[in-house]
Amino acid sequence: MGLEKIKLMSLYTDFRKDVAYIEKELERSVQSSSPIVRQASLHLLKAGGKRIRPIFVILAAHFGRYSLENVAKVAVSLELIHMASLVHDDVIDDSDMRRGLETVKAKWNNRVAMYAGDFIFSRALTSIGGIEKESVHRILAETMLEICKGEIIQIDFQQQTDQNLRDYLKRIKRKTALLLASSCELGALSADADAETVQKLRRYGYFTGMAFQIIDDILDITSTDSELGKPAGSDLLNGHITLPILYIKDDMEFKPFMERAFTGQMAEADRQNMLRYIRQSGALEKAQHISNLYLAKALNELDSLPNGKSKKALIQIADFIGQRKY
Amino acid sequence: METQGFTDQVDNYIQNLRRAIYQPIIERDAGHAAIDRRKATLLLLPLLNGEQWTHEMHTAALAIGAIHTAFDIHDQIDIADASSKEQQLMVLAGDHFSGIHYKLLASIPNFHLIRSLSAAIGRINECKTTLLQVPPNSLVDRLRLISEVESGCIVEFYQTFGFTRYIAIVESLFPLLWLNESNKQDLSHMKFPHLAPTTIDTEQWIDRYQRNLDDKLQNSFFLHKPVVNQLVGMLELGESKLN
Repeated sequence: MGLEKIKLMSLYTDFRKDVAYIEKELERSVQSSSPIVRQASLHLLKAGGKRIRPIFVILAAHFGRYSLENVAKVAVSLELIHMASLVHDDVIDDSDMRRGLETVKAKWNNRVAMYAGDFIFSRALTSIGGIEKESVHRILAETMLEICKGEIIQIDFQQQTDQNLRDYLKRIKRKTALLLASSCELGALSADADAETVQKLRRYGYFTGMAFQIIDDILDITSTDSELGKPAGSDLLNGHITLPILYIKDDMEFKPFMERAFTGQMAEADRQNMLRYIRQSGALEKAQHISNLYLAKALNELDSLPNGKSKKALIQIADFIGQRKY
Repeated sequence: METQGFTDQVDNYIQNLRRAIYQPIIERDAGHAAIDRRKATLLLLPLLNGEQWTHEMHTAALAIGAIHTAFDIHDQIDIADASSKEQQLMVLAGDHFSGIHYKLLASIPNFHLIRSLSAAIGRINECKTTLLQVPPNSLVDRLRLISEVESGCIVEFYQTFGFTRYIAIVESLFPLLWLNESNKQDLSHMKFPHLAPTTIDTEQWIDRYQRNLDDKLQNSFFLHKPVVNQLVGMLELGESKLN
């Protein structure tokens, strides 16, 4: 288990039993009569991940009438939707490694990855189907469609350098922030929290999600290949313009790096030079500043919520997101 | 209802489905998603046979059309290389259509169908993986899995809305349609072409499954004559699959 995950887990020790229960439910939910589907699903599940979505569901539900049974249905569903999208993303990005392990598409093939992703998605709906509340399904369906729209736009924007901050923020909203916002919102809704609390938690999830993705984009530049489990700078190599790159893309000395990255003509030494150039440009500090602004907004949403263990954990998670190393 | 009436109903459904799954970037760069007309016809079989058709059934049928379209587009992802923009968009198109299917079910809302259909989608993907990676040796087992893949969602729809008497017909029809495609060597449009039997074998199997379907149709006294003709025509004419 990575050091960062251990650090994150230490923030919610009071809820450890419930997190462990959800982990078991996740494993149970992807059991399959097909050995390949089961192996492919468990392969990604066992690779770990921060489980930030289930944790948000648990913490948000504590602001209402907490029921672990309901919380588990929502948490399992959200984590599985996230997992299914990762399996398909690896097909789109032609990625062979994720979290330091071979991807499903590399271990088997693209088609198995498509079917495994669709299978995991079906299990997500089986889980959430146990909640008979129209608003929960409406919100989740809208979230899924928006996430997908974000990915479609990302493909459309691939290698387009005439993007601005607004385009980027809209993209990461769909890519990451919406699912974290929905995790908080659906957790609170599943516990029948009052409408104002639900909206505050939703906004908390949204702002931390924006910060989370910006930090992720910074880490793509600052981390080592082994920390990332894939080559550093992969975003740019896949044609994606992230926030640090937005700040530097018009720099005349940087432009040739970008062109070579986009055309797949980047040798290893060249990649290292490019990463060094970005690290020294000041772009990362500017991106970190934007992330900090989002985290401040997230913390602001928590101010008027009742004090307790779950609020404390949400505050600590926001701090962790701002400081995480990989 | 006569043939023109059937055609209009199915056309109307396909038009509504197209509208429901529309996504401008996908449409522009990956083109029109192919909608399986035969599956649409079989899904609407109770309607074509004059059964009462509610707004809830109409929405649920669109949801199932969306998931069928998602399956079909994901079946077209290249096994080794999906790095072109068109293939990348096809992956996402399938995910988008899946999302639309859930949104439609959530709008009814029919929680029972969300659960039962998701279980069917799970089974279908298990069957597809088996057929792709470790296909059974016997053709009967292969045809059973193919039938599950093609009819699984329609069967859930029939069960949910009290049309169970139609299940045996669709379950017998899909293997026969697949064998017919195999016999015509129309491999470019058929699913799991690598499982197609030899021509001599195929004809024997077609006879066997045709007799099975004929028995089912003879016992389906509730089916109106024009509907039976429509089903027989679908097999005889090898009606165009895609729209």
